[in-house]
Amino acid sequence: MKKLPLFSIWLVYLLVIVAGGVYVGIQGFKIDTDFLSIFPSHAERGGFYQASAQYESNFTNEILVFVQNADRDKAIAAAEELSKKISQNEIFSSVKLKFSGNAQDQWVPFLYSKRQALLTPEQTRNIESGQSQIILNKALTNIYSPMGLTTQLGTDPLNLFQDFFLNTAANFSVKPFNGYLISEKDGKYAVFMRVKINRNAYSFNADLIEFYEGQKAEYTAKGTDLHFLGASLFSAFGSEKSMREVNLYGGLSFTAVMLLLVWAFSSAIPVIATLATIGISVGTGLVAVMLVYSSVHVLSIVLGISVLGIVTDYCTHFFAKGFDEKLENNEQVMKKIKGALVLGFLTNTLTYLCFYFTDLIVLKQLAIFTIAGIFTTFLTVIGVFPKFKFRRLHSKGLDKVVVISNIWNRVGHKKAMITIFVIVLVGLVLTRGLKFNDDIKLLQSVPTVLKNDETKVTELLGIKRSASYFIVKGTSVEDVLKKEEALSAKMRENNVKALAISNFSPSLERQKQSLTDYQKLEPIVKEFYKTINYNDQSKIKALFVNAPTPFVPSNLLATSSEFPLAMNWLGKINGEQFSVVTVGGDANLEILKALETEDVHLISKAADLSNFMQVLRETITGQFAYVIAALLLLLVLWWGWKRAFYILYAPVVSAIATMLFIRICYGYLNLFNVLAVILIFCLGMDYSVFFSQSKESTRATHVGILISFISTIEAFGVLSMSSTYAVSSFGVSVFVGICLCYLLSPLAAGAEHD
Amino acid sequence: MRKIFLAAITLAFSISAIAADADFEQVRQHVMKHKVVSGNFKQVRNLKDMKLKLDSEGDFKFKLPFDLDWNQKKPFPMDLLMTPDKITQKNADGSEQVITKAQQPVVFTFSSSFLGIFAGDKTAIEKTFNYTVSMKGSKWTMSLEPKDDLLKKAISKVEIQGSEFVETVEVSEKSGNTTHIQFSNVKGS
Repeated sequence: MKKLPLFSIWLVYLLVIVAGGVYVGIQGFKIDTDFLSIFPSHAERGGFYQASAQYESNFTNEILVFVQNADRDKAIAAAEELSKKISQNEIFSSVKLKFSGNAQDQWVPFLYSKRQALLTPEQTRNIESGQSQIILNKALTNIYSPMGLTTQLGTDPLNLFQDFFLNTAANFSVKPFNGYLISEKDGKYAVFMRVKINRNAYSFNADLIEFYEGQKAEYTAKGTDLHFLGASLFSAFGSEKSMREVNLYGGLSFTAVMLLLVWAFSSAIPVIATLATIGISVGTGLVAVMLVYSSVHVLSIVLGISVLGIVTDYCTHFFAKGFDEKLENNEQVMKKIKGALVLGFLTNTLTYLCFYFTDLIVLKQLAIFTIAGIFTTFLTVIGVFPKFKFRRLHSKGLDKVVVISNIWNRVGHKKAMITIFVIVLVGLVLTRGLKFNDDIKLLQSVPTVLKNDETKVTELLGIKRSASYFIVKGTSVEDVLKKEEALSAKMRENNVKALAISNFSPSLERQKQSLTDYQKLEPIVKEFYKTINYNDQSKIKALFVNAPTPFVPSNLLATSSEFPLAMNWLGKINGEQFSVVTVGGDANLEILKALETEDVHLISKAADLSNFMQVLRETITGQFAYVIAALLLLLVLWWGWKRAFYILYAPVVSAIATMLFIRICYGYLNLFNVLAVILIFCLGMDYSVFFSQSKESTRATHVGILISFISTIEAFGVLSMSSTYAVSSFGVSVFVGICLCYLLSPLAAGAEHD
Repeated sequence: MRKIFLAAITLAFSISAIAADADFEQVRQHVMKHKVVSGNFKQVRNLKDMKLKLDSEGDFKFKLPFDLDWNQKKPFPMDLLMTPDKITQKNADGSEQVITKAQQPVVFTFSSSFLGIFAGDKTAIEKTFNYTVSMKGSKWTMSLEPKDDLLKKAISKVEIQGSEFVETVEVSEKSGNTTHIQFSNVKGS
């Protein structure tokens, strides 16, 4: 049977990929950027995740702005001017500078009419423990105090509602003035405005930064300070910094790699071929993921960046054979390296295949993306590259590149391997093993200007809310309110302030209890009036005759659209009722975590992301045991125990030694160090396989690996200079790891040598 | 609502520091030398709807920059201590009610603005009130109307009279209730 030419297979394969790409293009190329949606436990959390998304959608696009000046009129004029600019700018969808001054006039009277059903926990405790005298004494003190309230003396003589209001309502520092909300601090007036942006808050909004910086500078020059706070600004600054670095380091490394390839091969063909292979391979990877999952998560692409290193590695290995003086054409080259390429492809595929068998979609996508990419590279190199015109390369001075092999030959491979392994082992023992830290906060770097603004805005608002909050789930409105009340009580016990709808609209059961307790106050009220010589018995009696009708949150929320906690009431989601309990002030996350129940779930983005990083990191490191076992099995079947051991030595020891280096230098490792180790491991495997297969053309193999090594440093190692911790973590690990791989991989040849 | 009275009382004792007009400059300079002012008070609250009059009396001590001790003796003992960050109300039974700046920042925004008055800061009072001053010999009268939206809802007018020291304060609420405070035996040191 005539053998089907590989080039034809490659062409058919390419057509299939193009067809797949067209199909994906028609369906729409969707990139998923929601990190928490890929968290496996979110599926188990049922509506909690949806409820959280609904709650956060209210303010993720919002920016809070304060316009501050020592002169109130100037502050207002500047706020008016800025508001006009914002309303005319397409970045923003709305701006609210004027607030209904009488918003409180609508919901406060409603609650006042229900006051008998709104006893505070302290009032209830005093009444139920027979200490109503405390309430009487407070009321008497209040009526005589020059600061006491007299307006409600006829309807609420014991000041129960005033107590309720002072204890329950959020105490914002902003107060209304001619329709504006103004906060006063340090002798300056700050006019508040609420702005919404017209975009996805988490996309790269460069023009938002431009607007922010431009306006701040312009107003500061005029003696007015602007303070902004919003998720979109943090996101924009974070993206801007990353983009700047990606452009800088991406540009630098791209140029360096291209120059290296042109210099090494004295031809543009290897450069163009490598670039084209990278393009086709990455494209295939994306199409494969899209065909399986309909969308690709941005993290899968980030994790799959290692495929670039492998693609370059295969390509340079092929072209470097041009240094082999014994070879006459590319068919011979292919014959020489086919075995190494096949084994390299199999080991790389097996490595990434292990990530498919996890619960994390992002790792499954990573497996598909990289395997599809590596397969495409493999097929391109063996199917297309032999078609290029063979070019003999100058071998002058090549002897120098085999210096490392010569060192290992002199020392003795086995001896060197044992010595290095013992050193690494001692290092591990001395450092008490590897330590990991997955706290997302370690990776964050917020610009100082935004940090200062955040502090200012929080101070000017006068209320501090934790970024964490609780989602409460119930079968009915009453059920949710009861669960909120139980949670609030537990939070009070832990000195944590709860901002919840049930503070204002208690459960029907609680309202009933309050009304019963209120009736017990009749003798106290009579005593109060007797003390101040008021004797209108009919009015006193009226206080206890007409009980207010029960009410639910929707009744309260219907009174005013500006009720402060309106966003906390989420209503029905998937047939169940949900609400949010906001946490006042800075609360300890451990304490909050302990308050979780089956129906009360703590949402803490920072903790969730840290947890996600930990799961991802643990899954990857856990899968590595399977990777090594699978590779060992493959290599043993291919070459037997001895050679399998020699080939695995460099990637395994380089990976462990890199992690040990990071542990010693930085104290702990993070997810990005582990991701770098995957790349190191794959490249280390390739280097070892190529060396093991090189036999008589060692020099050409050395050159190919040297070029691959330098290009990896140029492409990834340069990232160690990044000011973004996650990126520099990755870069430093790759730099150290790839150096170790380069030094140790020639030991793979020791299987035959020894 | 506490802030309304807080404002009025603080204002009463700090009036000497107001240099609103040239007329007042003399008074201000005359009384600014007193770092501590103490004396007796008689307070009458007229509750319009309830047709009720509530009398109380006691003594007070005011220290610059902002310490007020309002010590009621009759009809029952009660003590009110006010500092820039805290208001402590001691009830007849010895129990205490404390309002802190952290809990009720709006209340203290007012008290902080009045702190400025003690330093003779005219702009501090102008932030919250529109005022007029009239003089008859050594006697002066100051009428204040709130500018602030929240204050406007509860208080219609504050009138303070005095000569070397503050003699009377009258607070008129929107509801028609009034509070009249008469100071006597006032001494400065």
